[in-house]
Amino acid sequence: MSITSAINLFRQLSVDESQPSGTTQTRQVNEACFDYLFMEMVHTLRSQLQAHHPVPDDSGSVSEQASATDRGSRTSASNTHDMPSTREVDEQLLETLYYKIELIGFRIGQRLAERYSKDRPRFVDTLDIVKFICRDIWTKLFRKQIDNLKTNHRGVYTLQDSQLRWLTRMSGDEGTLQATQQAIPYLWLPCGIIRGIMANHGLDATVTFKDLSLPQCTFHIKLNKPS
Amino acid sequence: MAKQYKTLGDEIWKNRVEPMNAELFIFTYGSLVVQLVKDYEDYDQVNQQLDKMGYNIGVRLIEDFLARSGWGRCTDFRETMEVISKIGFKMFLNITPTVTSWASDNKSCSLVLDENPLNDFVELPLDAQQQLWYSNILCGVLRGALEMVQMQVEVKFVSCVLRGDDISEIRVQFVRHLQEEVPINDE
Repeated sequence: MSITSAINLFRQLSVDESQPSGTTQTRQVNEACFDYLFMEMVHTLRSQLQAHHPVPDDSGSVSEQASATDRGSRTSASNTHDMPSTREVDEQLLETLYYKIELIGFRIGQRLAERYSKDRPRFVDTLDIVKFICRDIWTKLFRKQIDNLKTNHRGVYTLQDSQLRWLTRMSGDEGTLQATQQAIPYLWLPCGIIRGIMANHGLDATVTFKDLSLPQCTFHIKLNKPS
Repeated sequence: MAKQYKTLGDEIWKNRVEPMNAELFIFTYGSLVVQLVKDYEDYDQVNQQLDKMGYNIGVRLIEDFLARSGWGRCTDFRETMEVISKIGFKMFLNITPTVTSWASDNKSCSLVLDENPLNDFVELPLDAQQQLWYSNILCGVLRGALEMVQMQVEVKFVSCVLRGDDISEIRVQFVRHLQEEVPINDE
């Protein structure tokens, strides 16, 4: 038997995961399980940090969100109107929270990359890897592809999702703006996931998000040049 | 009788929930446990923290359970456990643990998890095998959910395949019926 025919045979034998009826091969759980876990995860990490850095009063929550906005879109002008002392504490707290959630995402990303890229053809270039995130990973996570992908061909990629599943059911009791600010910690996870996938393919990248208006969100991937 | 629970559980899973690939859920849980282990550097505290998180999830999840299943009041603790296994676990994790080892007073029993999605792809380092109850969040969920229907229970893992045991077993001990009151430590 020639090598090619052996490979063909192997292809026939291997499980076709693209079939929608493949419920027996891939384990499934209720989507709500993830939602509960994700909500509780952010809540727990936040209260764990707050126990270490007590926030003086309830104005803290306002400054917390404001400084979070700065982090989300680093370029935007800060529009804070609160006390600097609580701000510093919150700044620090959010920094740590960001670090933790992003790192959790990073680990998830690395595992997802290993799990889903093992059976696919070799990636030819960076764009190919980004496309893999937009198509394969996004479909696995959100059952849809990313809506728009742009690149300047110099290491910057912009991924736009007009309806990010995790954001679709978010709302705030003080209107959309407040809800948007509160949603920010939840976006550090997908940022981390994307960075994890890139890192798993040997690419050092910085991932941020911008233009957040629920449930629309844009992710920004910038490759870091090896120094 | 037991068949009726199973039929309802299957029916809910098929028609009334949004299923998703378990990988994201599994990896997220795994990453979270890793993070907690790093933060606390103490497995006992991680177990506690997982249980607490589960509790917070449980108090919310019960609403979802009741709404989706439309299940009414259970006549006794035995029935409660059957419903948890065949409808509750089925609805959320798509598994049905075996309810077994009933104590003679019908107040405690075991849930044997023949499969557990959380355990997928997981292997514990040796030191963690001694102390960590990896899926301890499940205990908290049961405790929180049952508290919301006025049942105080004690739930803990007694064995886990990740620790090298033959089976994964959760022991549930019924404590008492609660009066209608504001839940303790509600957050």
